[in-house]
Amino acid sequence: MSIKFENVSYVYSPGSPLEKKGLENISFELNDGSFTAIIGHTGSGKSTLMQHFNALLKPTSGQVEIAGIKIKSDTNNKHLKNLRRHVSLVFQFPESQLFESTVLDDIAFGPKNFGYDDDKAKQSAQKWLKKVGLPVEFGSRSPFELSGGQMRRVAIAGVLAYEPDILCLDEPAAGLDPRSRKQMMELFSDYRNAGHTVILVTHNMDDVANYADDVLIMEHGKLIKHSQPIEVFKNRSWLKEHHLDEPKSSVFAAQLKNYNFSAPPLRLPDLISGIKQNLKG
Amino acid sequence: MTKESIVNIKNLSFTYPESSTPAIDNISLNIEKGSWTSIIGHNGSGKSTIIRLMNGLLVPDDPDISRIKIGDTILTEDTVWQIRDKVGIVFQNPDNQFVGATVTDDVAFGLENRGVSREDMIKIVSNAIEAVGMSDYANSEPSTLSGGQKQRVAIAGIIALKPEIIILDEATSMLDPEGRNQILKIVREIKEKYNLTVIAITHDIDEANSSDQVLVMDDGKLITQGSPKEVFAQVNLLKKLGLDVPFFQQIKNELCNNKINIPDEISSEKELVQYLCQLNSKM
Amino acid sequence: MSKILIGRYLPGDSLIYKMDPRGKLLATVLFIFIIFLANNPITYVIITFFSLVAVAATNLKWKIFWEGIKPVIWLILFTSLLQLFFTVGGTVYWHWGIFALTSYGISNAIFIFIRFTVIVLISTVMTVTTTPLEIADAIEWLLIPLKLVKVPVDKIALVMSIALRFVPTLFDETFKIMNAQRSRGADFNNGGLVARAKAITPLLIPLFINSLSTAIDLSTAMESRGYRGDEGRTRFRVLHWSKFDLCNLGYFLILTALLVIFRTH
Repeated sequence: MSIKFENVSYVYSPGSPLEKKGLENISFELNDGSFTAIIGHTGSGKSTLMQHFNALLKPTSGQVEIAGIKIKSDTNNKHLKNLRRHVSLVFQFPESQLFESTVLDDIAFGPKNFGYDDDKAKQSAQKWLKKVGLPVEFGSRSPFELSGGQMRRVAIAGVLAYEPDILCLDEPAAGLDPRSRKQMMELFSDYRNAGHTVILVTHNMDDVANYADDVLIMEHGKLIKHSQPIEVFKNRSWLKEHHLDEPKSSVFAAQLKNYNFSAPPLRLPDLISGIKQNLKG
Repeated sequence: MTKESIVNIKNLSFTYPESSTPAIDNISLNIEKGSWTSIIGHNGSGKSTIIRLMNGLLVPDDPDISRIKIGDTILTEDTVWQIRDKVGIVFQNPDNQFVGATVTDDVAFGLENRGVSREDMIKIVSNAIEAVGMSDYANSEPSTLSGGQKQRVAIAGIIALKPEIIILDEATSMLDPEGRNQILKIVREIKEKYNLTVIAITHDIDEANSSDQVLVMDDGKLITQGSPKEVFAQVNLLKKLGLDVPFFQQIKNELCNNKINIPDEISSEKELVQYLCQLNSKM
Repeated sequence: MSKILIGRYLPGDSLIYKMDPRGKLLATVLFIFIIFLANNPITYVIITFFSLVAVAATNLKWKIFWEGIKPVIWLILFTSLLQLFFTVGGTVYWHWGIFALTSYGISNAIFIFIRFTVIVLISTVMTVTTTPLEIADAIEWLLIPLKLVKVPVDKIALVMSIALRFVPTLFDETFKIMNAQRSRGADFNNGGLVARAKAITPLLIPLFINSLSTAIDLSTAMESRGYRGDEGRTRFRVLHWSKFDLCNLGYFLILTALLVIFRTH
C-alpha cells in the first residue's frame, strides 16, 4: 500500500479569473506502515495534497499511485470507491460530519458503504466505539447529545471502523483539552503499530517529534523537504528561514549554552539524557 | 496596598435547564484591575459558562445569593447593557462572531448598537482597525480572511467600544501557531495601551504560565487559584485533573526522577536554564 | 459552481462600478418596463444599441455576458420559435397545418429574441458590477416606504446582510461535509433518483445542525456586542448619490424619450 506521487501539480479553477496554483510538481514516496507528518503554514498546500491521497482531488498533471491504483487527471470516478476503502481522510473538526440518529449507526455508515453486512458493520462499530474510549451505552444515544470532544471521537471511530490501510488526519486534536489530545494521538500511534500507515497534517512540532518517522514540509504549493524528523530538526537556521517551529525540547536545549548535544533533542527523554550526559562530563 | 478589584464574584451557582448537576458550583473569586488572568480546566469544566455569566448572557440560579460585580456595578437586569459596554468577549469560532459584511462594517456593529453618530464611528472604526493591523483589509469580506485575521477584527470590534475587560474564550484554539502568536501579541499591546484587564480561557499552559493569575476549574468548581508559580507547583493536582504542566516543570520533574535535584525555588524556564548552565560550569 | 454567473459579482473599476446601487437597481427595473415601448424595427435597434453601449461601458470581457446568456439561450430560442411559427398576419410565406411562417411571425420572433437577450444583458450588467451587499442595500432603500405600514425594514436588512455574509461559509461547509462523507464511501453522483435523494441525507443533516449551531453562536456574539433590536441603532453604511448617477439616470431617460418618439403609435 505504498504511496507514490510523480510530478503532481494541481491548479484550482483552471482558465477562470480565479485560477490558482495548489500544488507544483510534487514527487515523493511513502513507505508502508510509516507515520508521516505533513507540516507547513496555512495555505502552503497541505490540505490540497491530502485530498489527493483518496482522489477527492485528481492531479491536473502528473500521477498518483496508491494501493496499486493509478490516478491521473482523466481517471474515471467509478474506481475511486475501492481506493477510498483503503485510504481514508479525516478532515479538521470531523464532528461536523455526524448525521445518524444513533452513535452506532453513524460509526457503521462507512463500513456499510464499503460492503460490510449489517451484523459485521455493527460489530465493528461496537469495537471502535470502545477503542476510542467511549462507554458502550453511548452507542444507542444520539450523537448530537454528546459533548464536542465526544463527538470528535465518534467521528474518528466512524473512519477507523472499516480499518483503512492508510489513515490521513488533518489536525485531529485541534481544540481538544490536553488529556483528550494525548489520548487521541496515542490512538493513532496504536493504529500505526497495528500495521497501518498514518499520515498526520499538523502544526504541532512536538507531535511530529513524538510520533512521526517521516516528514513532508510544504511551502507555497511545493514540497521543500522530505526527510526524517531528526534530520529536519537538526538544521535550526533552515527552520528559522522558513518560519517553522521546533519541538519544545530542542528550543530548551538551545538555551543551554555550555552544553553539548550531538543533535537537538526532539523529545523530553532525549533532552533529559542529553543533560545527564553533559553533567557527567 | 491592595489593588483595585474589577471583577468580584460571590457565591455564584448556575445550572443549565436540561441538566441536574450545576455547571457552576458556588464560586467566589476576585480579579484585579489591569491584570491578566488565565482560566484553565478540561472541556466541560465550566470555564465558558462562568464568563457567559459575567456579562449576563446567562443568569445565575438564584440572583439573590449570587453576586457579580464588574467595577462598581452589580450585574442586574437593569445594568446588564452597562456591563456589556465594559466587557468584550472574543469567542472561539472566528466565523460565528463576524456579523458585518466587511471588516469595517463588523467593527462598526457594536457602535451602531450603541447609537454612536456616523461621524464618530468613522474615526473610531478606522483607529480600531489600525490598532489590530488590519488597515489593508478594511473593505475585505470575511470569506477572504484567515481565522487569525477574523479574530483580529473581533478584537477591533471590542476596542472600538473602549471596554475595561477583554475576555478571550479559547479565542486562539482554532488558529494555527502563527495566528495564535499574533493574537496574543496584539492583546498584550492593547492591554498596555488601553489599560485593560484580560481574562483568558485557554488550554495553552505556556500562555497561562505568563499571566498574573491562574484559576483552575473542574466540574464547575474553582479548585485552586494563585500566581502561575503557586498553581503550577501543584504538579500532582494538575495531572489528576488531566491538565498539562508547563514544559519547564516537566523537565524539572524528570530531572529529579533522574537524581538531578533542582531546587524548589526555580519557578520559570529562564531560572531553570540559568541553574542548569551554572551546574554544568561547576563540574 | 463557477458556471453560475447571474448574481455573481466580478471586480472591476469602470464607471458603472462607481454608480450608486440604488440608481442601478432603479434603472434595471425601469429598463424592463420601457422595453415594452419598443414595437417597430427602429425602436428595437435603439434598444439594442443602448444595451450594447451599457455592456461595453462595464469594460469587462464580452465572454462574461455570453456566459450570462448561455444558461437561458434555449428558453429564448424556444420562445422565439413559437413566435415564428404561431403568429398569423402579414404575408404568408409557407404553412402546414397549424404552423405558418408569416412576415409578422418573423419580425415578432426577432423582437422577442432581442427583448429577452437585452433583459438578460442589462441584468447581468447590474449583477456583475454590484456586490450582493450593495444590492441588498438598494433593496432596503426601495423597501423604506413599507416602514409606514410597520414593516421592520431595518431587521429585514440586517437579516439579508447576515444571510449574504454566510453564503460563502455555507458553501465551504457543504464542500467539506461532502468530501468527508465521500471519504466514508458515500456516493453522490451515481444511482437512480431515489438512491440520490437518500445519498444527500448525510449531507443535509450535518449542514442543518451546523447552521443551527452557527446561528446560536452568532446570536450569543451579537447579544454580547450589545445588539438589542432596532431601538436607538445608528447606521454605519450609507449610500451616496454622485454625478455618475445622473449620467445613469440621464442615459435611461434619453432611451425612454427615443422609444416614445420612434415607436409606432
